[in-house]
Amino acid sequence: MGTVAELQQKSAELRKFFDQHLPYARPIPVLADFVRIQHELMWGGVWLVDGLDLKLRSFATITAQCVNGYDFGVEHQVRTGLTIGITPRQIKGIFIQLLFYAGVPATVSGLRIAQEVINEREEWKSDDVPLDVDWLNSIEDMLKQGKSLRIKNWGELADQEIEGSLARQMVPEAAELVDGYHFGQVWALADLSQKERMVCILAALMCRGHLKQLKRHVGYALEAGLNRKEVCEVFAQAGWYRGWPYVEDALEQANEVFEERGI
Amino acid sequence: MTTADELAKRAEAFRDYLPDQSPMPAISPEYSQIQVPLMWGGIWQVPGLDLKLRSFATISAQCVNGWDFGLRHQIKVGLTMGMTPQQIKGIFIQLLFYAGIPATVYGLLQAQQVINEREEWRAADVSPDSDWLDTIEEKLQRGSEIRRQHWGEQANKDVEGSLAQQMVPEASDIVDGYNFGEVWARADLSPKERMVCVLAALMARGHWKQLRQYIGYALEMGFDQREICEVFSQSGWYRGWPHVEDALEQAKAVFEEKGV
Repeated sequence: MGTVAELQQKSAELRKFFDQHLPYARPIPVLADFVRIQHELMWGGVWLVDGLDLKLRSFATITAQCVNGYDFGVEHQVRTGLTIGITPRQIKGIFIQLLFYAGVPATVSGLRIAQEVINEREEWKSDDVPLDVDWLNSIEDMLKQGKSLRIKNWGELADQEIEGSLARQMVPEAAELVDGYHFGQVWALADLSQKERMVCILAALMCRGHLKQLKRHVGYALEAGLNRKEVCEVFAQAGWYRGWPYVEDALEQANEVFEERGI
Repeated sequence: MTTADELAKRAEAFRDYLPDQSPMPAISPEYSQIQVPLMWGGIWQVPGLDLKLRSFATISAQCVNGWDFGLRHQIKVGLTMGMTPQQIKGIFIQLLFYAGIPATVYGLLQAQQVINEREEWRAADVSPDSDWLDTIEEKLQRGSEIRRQHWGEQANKDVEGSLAQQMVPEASDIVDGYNFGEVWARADLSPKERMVCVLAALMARGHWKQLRQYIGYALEMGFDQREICEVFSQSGWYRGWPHVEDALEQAKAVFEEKGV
């Protein structure tokens, strides 16, 4: 079990890294006790736990902040992500990925803030080039591409579950448009890997409390190649930015899936 | 099947409703390439729920979300479609009970900013004549009548037997009196418009058990199945699509129970 001194030490090392790369990211001028807890626990602690790398932790955190909707927090974590080495296009990719899971307003807000942060540095700005996208012209083609991506990444069962969704049955026109654009176009964008997308999805479903859908997606994550530890660490990471009781609820779902699969 | 070009063309019908200069195409061409055809050319124009009711659902979702520019944007869309300034304000007053004071205050502040932008909107911004009752008892009485009239006897019993009525009775009498006896009695919105706002707000906040009850009340008031489902898909795109799946699960259970 770590000592506070060790946590402080690790936090200070990470701080040094950020000070070096991000000289204007000064600590928030608020209560010193808050800063102390936050630095030791978060930057010296949770962020550095084994099992999930810094970049994936950053994806989970930005997602939680996007759902939260506090501008200041989103801005801070976008800057942190860019400093860790996530590219501007990847940052924007996170918010596009969340269009389906967190809704238009969350995406718009995230993208606007991301742009402001990207504009702060010449190197980020010059990296911010539009993607080459192969836009499909018919919804049918999008649905077809989405289906093959789902089968490839999540397997046949996941594909059947999504095609049998209540939305497909009860609001079929809207659901075909949404599934077509989401699975057929957003998922096909080259900015994020399937694993990175999955981290965002798990964090978003947890933060909004969609526990039944989260359970299914824990299964999809395992199919997509995440291991047990990674799934749990996504929840711990995002949970600290949304409220710790979310972690307990999410792990309850994860635990059931792990038991069902005997892993 | 529909093509993206057709959706984009249909979205043109909304040109008047949309802001002249959106920063979004410059920030993320991918976003615009998806959002314009999918939303304005697609979901807004699905049959089964008219544009104004879709606007009520969307503004309610935006109110729960709480992002200022999304809210202002949708208020402008609503006004451009022909909602009156008083109806816009009526939405936020309706949401006092369902989304809480801060959401209402924030929504009203944003609404006022948008209304002040145009002389015609400002001129139309006159409070309706309200028949304010003097005692909580009268308010409760009128609320109970309204519930019985629109939602039936069972709904009235559900509300009167709520846990809040049993466990925090003093607060609950006041809240129910004002919500059902004053807000629901106001002339600015029709009961149907109010119900659209409530369904969207309960979904956006994830109150699944209470949503289920209200789906039953909506059917009692004359909503058809299709309208209820479309309220969810409309506001769901503004709150996150997984909400639609969760809400439809409740709707399906109610439809099955009632055999509709």
